[in-house]
Amino acid sequence: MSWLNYANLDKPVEIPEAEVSGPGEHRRNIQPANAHKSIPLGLETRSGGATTPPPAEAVEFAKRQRVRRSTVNPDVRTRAWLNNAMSTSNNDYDAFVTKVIAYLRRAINEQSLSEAQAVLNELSRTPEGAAAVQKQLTHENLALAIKISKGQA
Amino acid sequence: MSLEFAGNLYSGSQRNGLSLLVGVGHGDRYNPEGFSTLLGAGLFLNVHSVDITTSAEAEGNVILFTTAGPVEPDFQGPFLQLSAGRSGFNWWNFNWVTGSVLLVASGKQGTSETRLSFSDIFLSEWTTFLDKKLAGGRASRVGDPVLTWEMFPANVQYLDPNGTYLKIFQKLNVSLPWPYDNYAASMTYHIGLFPDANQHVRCWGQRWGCWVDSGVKSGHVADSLAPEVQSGLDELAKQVNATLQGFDGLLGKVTDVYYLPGTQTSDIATGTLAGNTADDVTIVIEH
Repeated sequence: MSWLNYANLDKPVEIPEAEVSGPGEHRRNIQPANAHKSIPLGLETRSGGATTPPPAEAVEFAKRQRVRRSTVNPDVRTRAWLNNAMSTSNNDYDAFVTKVIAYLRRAINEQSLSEAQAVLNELSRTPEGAAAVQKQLTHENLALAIKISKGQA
Repeated sequence: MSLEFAGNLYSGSQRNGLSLLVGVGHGDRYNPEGFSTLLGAGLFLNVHSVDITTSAEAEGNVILFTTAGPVEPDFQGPFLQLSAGRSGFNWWNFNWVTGSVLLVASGKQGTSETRLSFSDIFLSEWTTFLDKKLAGGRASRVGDPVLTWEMFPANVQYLDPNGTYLKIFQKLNVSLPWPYDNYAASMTYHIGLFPDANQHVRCWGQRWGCWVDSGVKSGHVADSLAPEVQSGLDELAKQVNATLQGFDGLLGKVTDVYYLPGTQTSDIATGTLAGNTADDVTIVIEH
């Protein structure tokens, strides 16, 4: 069948209205003239990898261009600092968040940042925990954390 | 480790409700947060405000994609980009459906950037390349290609899940002799840009794919089409590299190449942009 018979699968290249409020100019790319340009179907009959070996620089670049994954290390729940914070917070979210931030301020490195982020995000899965995190994770504290992480404070 | 910038995604429209702390670390370029992360945080299809805290080191971009979870790849389709200039705090609320989020650090301190539209530099190259490749055969191009990207592809054979790719999708028509009807087909290439040993931008062809309509002649058509698509990958990379050579003297020493969605050839600094990844990709060359 020709592509005309797949017309019902053509997906328009949409740009919905965002109704954004906030600083700066709010721009919108011009809706493509051919608004019914087909999005790739994601179907394949045959495929293959590169037909020549990658240049060494391409391999090195792929390693160098760092991607930060917010992967949670399940071992964080065994950390002494976390268990101490849990046991001494008396089931109080605010007190617990204070202790997590205090842990982070003692030394910011890849491990402490990842662990604190994981714990704060875990708390933020509930409305009460999220409220406690948002109370203390102000933008001033975040800006300070960024500065401390760079040795600038 | 240090942070370039950090942000929060919120379910409420006033920086309230459920939240997720995200960020790009020092030296990092991207922080992808796919649908499964948003799902676990209660934020899948449920993000209504975002704040960004930036340092002096880079501008921060939080890009929200309207993707439908496991049935669609992350980081594609309509997007709303929220951008914050250096050393500041900004927040926005909006009416947007968010299935995946990508953070990108841009405008890094001490660097210059040149932004190019993938569509502008590539479209005529492609049509020239393909029409020549298909000439005399039964397959012909149907319209212009979709010039887009594939970012951190999960479960795509031959692609690195930590990789970032430019993607070209082209519909084809294969005419067959009577009594067979025309067959629909398509071809897809994934290519990547990188700085070479001379710190010039170059391209490498990473993956090829083709699809053929189902039917009695499907296998026969695929047997003819697939080798042509496969051999075209290297030919295309050579042609693209010939074009990229033209930029060598203009850019100086290239230190990084990364991508932003849609067309944004001038820096937003602080502001927002709505677009669609199927429309274009902005290639940002850091030098």
